[in-house]
Parts: sequence; C-alpha cells; structure tokens
Amino acid sequence: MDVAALVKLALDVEGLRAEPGEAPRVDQAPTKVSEIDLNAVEEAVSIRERVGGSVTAFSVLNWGPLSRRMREAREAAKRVLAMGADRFVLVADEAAVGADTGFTAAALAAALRARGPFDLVLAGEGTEDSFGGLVPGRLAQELGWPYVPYADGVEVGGGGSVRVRRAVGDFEEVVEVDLPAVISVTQEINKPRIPTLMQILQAGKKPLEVLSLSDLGLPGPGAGRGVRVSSVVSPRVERRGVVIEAESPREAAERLVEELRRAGVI
Amino acid sequence: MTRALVFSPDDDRCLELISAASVATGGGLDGVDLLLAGPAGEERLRTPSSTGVGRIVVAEWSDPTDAFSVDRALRAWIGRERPDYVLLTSDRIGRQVAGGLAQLLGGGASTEVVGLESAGGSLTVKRMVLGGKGIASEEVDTPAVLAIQPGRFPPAEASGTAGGAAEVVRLEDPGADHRVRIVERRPRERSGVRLEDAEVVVVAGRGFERREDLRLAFELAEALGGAVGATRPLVADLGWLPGSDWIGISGVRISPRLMVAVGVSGQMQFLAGALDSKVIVAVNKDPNAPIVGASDYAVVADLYEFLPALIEVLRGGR
Amino acid sequence: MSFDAVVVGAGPAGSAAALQMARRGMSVLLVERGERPGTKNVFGGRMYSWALEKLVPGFRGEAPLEREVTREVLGFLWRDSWVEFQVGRGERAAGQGYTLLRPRFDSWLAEVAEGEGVTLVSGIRVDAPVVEGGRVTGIAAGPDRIAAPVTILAEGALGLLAEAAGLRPPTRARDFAVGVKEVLELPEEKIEDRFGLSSGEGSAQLYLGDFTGGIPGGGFVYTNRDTISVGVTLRLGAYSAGEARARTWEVLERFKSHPRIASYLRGGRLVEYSAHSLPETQYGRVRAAGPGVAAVGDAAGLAANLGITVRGMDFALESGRLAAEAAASGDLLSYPRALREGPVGRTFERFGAAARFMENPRLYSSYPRVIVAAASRSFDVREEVRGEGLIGIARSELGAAGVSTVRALLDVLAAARSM
Repeated sequence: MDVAALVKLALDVEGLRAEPGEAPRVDQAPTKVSEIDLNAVEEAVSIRERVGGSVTAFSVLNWGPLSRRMREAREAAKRVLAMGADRFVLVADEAAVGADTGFTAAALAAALRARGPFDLVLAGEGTEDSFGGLVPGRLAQELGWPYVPYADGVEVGGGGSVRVRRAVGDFEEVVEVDLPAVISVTQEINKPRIPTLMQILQAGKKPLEVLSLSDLGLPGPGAGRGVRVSSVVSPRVERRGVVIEAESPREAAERLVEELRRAGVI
Repeated sequence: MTRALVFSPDDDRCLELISAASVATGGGLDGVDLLLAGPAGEERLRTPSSTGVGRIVVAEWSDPTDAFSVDRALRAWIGRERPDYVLLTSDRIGRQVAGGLAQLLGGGASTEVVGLESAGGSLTVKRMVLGGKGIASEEVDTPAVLAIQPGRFPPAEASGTAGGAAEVVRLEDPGADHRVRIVERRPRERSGVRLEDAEVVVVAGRGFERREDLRLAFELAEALGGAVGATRPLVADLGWLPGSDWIGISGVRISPRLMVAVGVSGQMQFLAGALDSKVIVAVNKDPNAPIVGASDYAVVADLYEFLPALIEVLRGGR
Repeated sequence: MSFDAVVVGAGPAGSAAALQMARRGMSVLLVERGERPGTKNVFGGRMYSWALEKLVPGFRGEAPLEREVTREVLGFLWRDSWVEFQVGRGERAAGQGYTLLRPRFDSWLAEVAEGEGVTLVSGIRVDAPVVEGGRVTGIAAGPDRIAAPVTILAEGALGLLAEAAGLRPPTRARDFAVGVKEVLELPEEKIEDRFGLSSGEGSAQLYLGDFTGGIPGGGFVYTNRDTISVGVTLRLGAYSAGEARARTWEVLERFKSHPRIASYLRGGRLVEYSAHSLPETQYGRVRAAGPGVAAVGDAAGLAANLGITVRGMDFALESGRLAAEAAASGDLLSYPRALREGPVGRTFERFGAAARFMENPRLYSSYPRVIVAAASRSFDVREEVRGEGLIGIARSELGAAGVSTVRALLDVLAAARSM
C-alpha cells in the first residue's frame, strides 16, 4: 500500500514567549514536527511494515521566515525519514507562508497528484500550534476521497478498504472505508518510534524533495478569498496567583477552603 | 440577505449557535436556517421556532450523533442553498465536517471560535491558537464555515413575535456515500459524570505515585461534588483511567466553575484544555511548576499530606 | 557507515573537536543527546574568548554573543547591607570575554562544525564506548555500533563514558556542586541604565555573603542582551542530590531578595530556570587520552570550580581543538602533553592554591560580615570620630566576628599568593 503522511512543522508552543496583550513572538520560537503528525507517520510506517508498499511524507511550510524554517524543516524531514518514511516532499514557497487551510490543502493535493498515486493519506487530527483540524478534511474534499477522522486504530484488510476504530461524541465506532481515503489519527493510536543512530544516519541518504508552488503549477493564494489572520494577541490571564503557604497541611487546607468560600466557588 | 445555516448535535447548543449566527448575518435572524437531524415533532420545534429563525430544516432520516449522516444532511442543504455561513459546534462532529464543507463551498473556515465581531460588512473571528498562548483575529470572507466553542454565546431567546413562525422544510435523504460504512457502534464507557458538564473537576497528574492513590482524588471530588479527570500520561501511558477522561487540547476540554489540579505540572497541551475553568487551584510540590503560575490559588505541598487534610476540612471534620 | 572520528556530545568541547578534525580533512560524526545542541546544557553565563579566537577567528560577527564583559564586580552581602568592588575597563575588545546563552551558542558552534562537513546527529544517547583489546574502537548507541579509529568523549561532567573507557576514576557525589540559575527578561535599555553599561557592554558580578547560610558557595549576576542570568552555586557534598537542589533553590531565593540584588532584577520576568550539577575540578585525576580515545572539556575534568564561579568553556574549546589536532596528526596520545603544556595546563597548575583558598570557611561566613561592617562603619558619621581608621575598624569587626587578626592576615596572604 502506498501511504502518504501529512506532516506540519508546527510552532513549538512550549518555547513560545508571550506577554499578555502583545503578539507572541512567533519568529523567535522554533518549529518542530507536530506531535500528532508523528503518530500519523508511525502508523504509515507500521502499515508498510505489515503489508508492504511505500511511505511518503508531505509538508507545506506555513511559518516564516523561510530562511530559518528551511533548516528546521530539514531536521524535521530527517527525523521523519529516520522513523521509516521512504521520501519527504517539502513544499516551500514564500507565497505559501501564512496561507489559510484551503490553500494548504490545495497545495498538498497538487503535490500528492504529482508524486502519487497513493492509496491512503494519514494525518494528525490537529496540530499543537493551531488545532484547527481542517486540512485533512479539505484535502479529502479536494481529492474527492472519503474522510474518516480521529482514528484510534487502523486495520488494513484485503479488498481495498481499511477499518478505523474511533470515538465521536458519546459513541465508539468501527468504520469501514474504501480506498483511496484520508484518515486522521489521534495520539492514542500508537507510540511513535524513536529513531536509532543508524536510522538517522541512513535518513540522510533518503530523498528530500523541495518544491515551489510553480513546480506544482499553482498560483499563490488569491486575494479576497478565505481567511486572513489580522492579529494574534496573547490573552491576559486573569488568574489571582495567590500562593498559600502554611505551617501544616491542615492550616493550608483551612486557608484554601476559606479563600474558596470567600470567592463563592464552594 | 446574508444567509446562515446552523447545526449542532445538541439542541441547547443550537440556541447558542443561533445567537452567533445573528452576529454573522449582521443582526437579523430571518436569514438564519436551523438544521435539525432526526425526527422533529412539535415539541422539539417549539423552542427554536420561537427564536425567530427563518427556516427549520428537518432531516428526519439523519442521526445527530453520527457525523457521516450529519455531513450528508449538511451537504444536501448546502449544495442546494449555498448559504454564506455555516455555523457548527466545535466538537468532534463539527470539526470532522467543517473542512470538507468549506472546500465544497470554496470558502474559509475557522474552528475553535471563541468570538465573532461584525463591522462594515466584514466578519472578524476570534479563535484560540498556539496552545492557548494566543487569540487570533481572523478576517473571514463569505462563504465560510465556523465551528464555535460551546458556551461562548448566550442561547437565543424566544422573540416577542408570535412563536412557531419559522417555516419548516423537510430535507430528503440524498443517499449514503457507500464508500464509508459504520460496521459497529456502541456507547462509550465512562467513569462517571461527563467532565465537559461537571461544575467541579479534580484533575490528577503525574504527582500521584500509584494507581490506588487516585482514591484521594476521588474522595476530594466527592467532598467537592465534582468529577475526576486526569492528564494524558495517566490515561494514555499508564492506563489508570479510561480513555474518555484525559483533559487537554486533543482530549476533553473542560470549563468548570472550579478545577483542582493535583500533582499536575501544567504542560501547555493540558492547560489548553482547561483554560476556561473559572477558578484554578493547583496543588504541587514544585513551586516552579508552570501550573502554579497559571492558577488562582496554589498550595505548594506534598499531595499525600495535603489532600487528606483538605478532604477532612471540607467534610467539616476536626 | 564509517567515520574517521566519532565525537560524543555537541557542547563547546565536542563541537570544537569535530570542527577542527573536519577542517583537517577527517570524516566526523558528532552525536548529541539533546533534541538539538545546547538543550541539555543551559549553564554558563560567561565565556573567556581567547580559545574561541583561535578556533573561529571571525566569531565576533557571527556567534550569538550577548554582551562583551567590560565590568567585573565582586560583592559582599551581609544582612541588608553590601559592599561592591567594581572594576571597569574603558576600552572595548579587552578580551575578557562575553556573556552568552548556551542553547544559542552551542547550536551556533555545532552549525559551524556542520558547515565544515561534520555529520551531526541529535537526540541520540550513546550508551558506551566499544573497547576491544584495551583500545577504544567506537561507540555503542542502542542497537547500533559505530566503528572509528578515533573516539572523542565530550559528554560533560558526569564522565560515565570516559570512566568506561578507563580514562577516569569513578565519580564521587562529593565531586559535584549544585548550581541553579534563572533567566529574567528585561528591556535592553533598562539593563544598560541599571548596570551603567553602554550598548553591547556587559557586567559579570559575583557575590559572597550570609545568604548561603555558611555553605561554601556564592551568587552571580550576568547581564545578557535583554535578559539577566542570576543564580547560585553551592558545594553541598553532604546532601543527597535532590535535597541539595531544594536547598539551592532556597539560597537562590534569599540571594534574589537581598536589596542590592533585588534592585538589579526588579520587574524582570522569569523566562527560564534550570538546576545543574557542576563538576569539581578533576584535573590530574583524569587521563586525557588512551588508545583510540580522548576526553575533552568537562569530561576531562577541565572545569575550575572556585565555589562561586565555574570556568570551563574556554578550557572546553581549547581542549577540543588540541585533541583534534592530535587526532589529525595521527598521534592522539600527544594530546595530553599539548594540553598540559598549553594555557589550560598552566592555569590548572596555579589553580590548586586558589581552590584551597576557596575552601576557607571564613570566606563564606566571617569575612563578608567583616568587610560589609567595616566599610559601612567607615562611612558612618553618627559615631564620634575615634581616630581608629580603617584598620582599627577592621580589627574591631574581626573581633566581633570571632576571627583573630593574625588568622585574618594569614588569609590575606593566602589570597594574595593564590589569585
């Protein structure tokens, strides 16, 4: 089975400095592979290990500045290739930086068509930095494929379909979907493998292809359509920040309960 | 007239979305249509109808808890009417269908929306990004799909005019997409109260050393009249609690009156799922743990000493 | 896959060794345990730049340096009072070094090495050197073995690989001190106003005083570009590692709340904190090289821990460069001698006396009090002039602190000899 895994270089939100009321300093924060996308890569590789085929990772660079992000993207690609992907296709273009999810999906669809065919596309259900969860669904629509998100398990049967175990609302479901299809995975599906030294060294020899939008025959994102981010501001966290220190646990407990009662919480 | 279509699997949330839709359309509800999945008798129609929405679209054959069948109903209506806005709840069903619908409409989409502002014919959407470290303002062109976080808008109320004015439209089943088949379906196992609905949530983190020690968290929850949740490692890595009970950006999002985080360090992925808690209490040994800075009240103490004392005080014991 | 050399650890010593070997035409694998270079080592606030000068002569325009140190302060704190001795240099480029932040600096130096053709692999823990017939022939990491004629260990202070390679004796708990550091963010101009610096200039400040509660150790304040590093290091040999760290945080809080220190830090926002084991000097206890293997930087015990300050980055860079030159010459075993006879060895020869002096308990208890009290009495105009002069005041304060004048004179002589 030929599987494509979608990988986003997400902003490392843990390392992001944010001052309330100001814009978080996204240019200074590093990017790394979004964690849930690593689950998608792991699943893709384990499917190939079970049934054969290939794994190609696709990524569209979304954060600038491109000069800095390219280096991080190469590191990210190395990690994904070391996990067992066979090749990495990176769409890097100034015009795609900051593009909305519709454009990202269109770019991915073009890259998938150019380097396909694929039987299955796997992606994380969301990314740490945005958690919109929109790109896989948009991509499925763009390709005209069925879309099954939130997979906690994927079982590859014969006969051109896979079974997806997932939970939505108050129900657990097993969904059978015909291929080709787009599936998003949760963090529950597996534990991404940590590559070994040899695997990282060998990853350096695997193909990393960098494509521009014109390589894909795509114009830049058109004006007046979709979503434009006009500002990002850190929320003012209005937490009281009272630290309760006391001689004994009993005293601390009494002080806490008193504070909560006074605040009308209990 | 700007037109909007509203859908939520939960009828109460529908009323919130109707309020949100009135902001998107610029005030009036005439252009707002409500999709109800499943059988809708007079009883079910009464409240939404009295809000003043334009039309109520009933897809009797659709199951509001089945995302694929909801998707089918939404597509049937959208393909025919091409509304300017589609408003959904930002839950798993809403997020599942939002992307595809937006691409179908050839428009924008935003999920996890926390606020809407309409000015001069353009709509600005506020949404939580960067793991809760940022609120993005996004200008959205029509058509657009907006998935709105629960509890962000007041429920629409009955309008002054005579109730039951909304036109009811029956939507035919366009037929299933046979490429996707649900072969098994059963209610999820839960350990008690739904965390999403709980007024008080006690969250257990890695500070608990053994599974049996969670007893302290359950006792505290009982004394406070609340539910117990956990951070991801306790559920996913250690399996101490069932899968529905971990709190975080990709797990359950909670918005209780009071959250007591016990032995929780306060990683971003967790905090982003609990930001809407009205009051946060942290119990942690480490005064430098991020949770301490993100809390209203922090008790720097060993949970094994502090929780028994707290439980006793709450129970009024001496 | 084969390499001429494997280097373990992409800190200053490892990257320097890798960089220099690559320049000499060797194929080099550099293995780093952290997610990227610099993430595992957050310590070090100041670097003396002579060694970097030799390794990367154009570093000034490229390296992520924070400020050039043009001010040195030695301060004594006692209760709410203090005395500071400040040394200022009017001229820039005085070669006294720079303040820097390790995550940025380390990843820059590793990039320079990569630019010279070094293969860098991050996120990999090396488990052991491979030893065959008394010779180190490579490394083992997880399921993998990498063979190389030269293995350079730059793993840091713990030195477990160097120990396994037979280069150093087992590490003892008391060989370590504990350091904790916080990085506080403040606007650039505010830092410059507060410390009296002009743009690009920095201040390195060390403090002794009663805030350590008599424990040997001290505090430091370094100015970075838009942050201040503040921390304490303590020798807590008697405590378990966990307890030692807890104590050290307490001491840091006391240090930070001293009015003088607080005045520097006011309004600073905490952006990072870290705790670290700091190596005691192992120079002389570690063999710098054996067959097929060399240790550089902290792994070779090349840290000069003087209780209040740890000097090591310059030694790390220089030892890495020297080991690389020896490896490239085909005679790795010539490295220890080059090290001994160069600036590093010469410094350590003089170091013993200084280290012994820094062990003097009076330095951490009586003297800060005597100095602060004597200095403040000299300026106290409420008292009648008793004509005792500075010496007289010092004598009476020594008496109050329970230190005999003879003892104090001997200590002053020892200080003069050792520094």
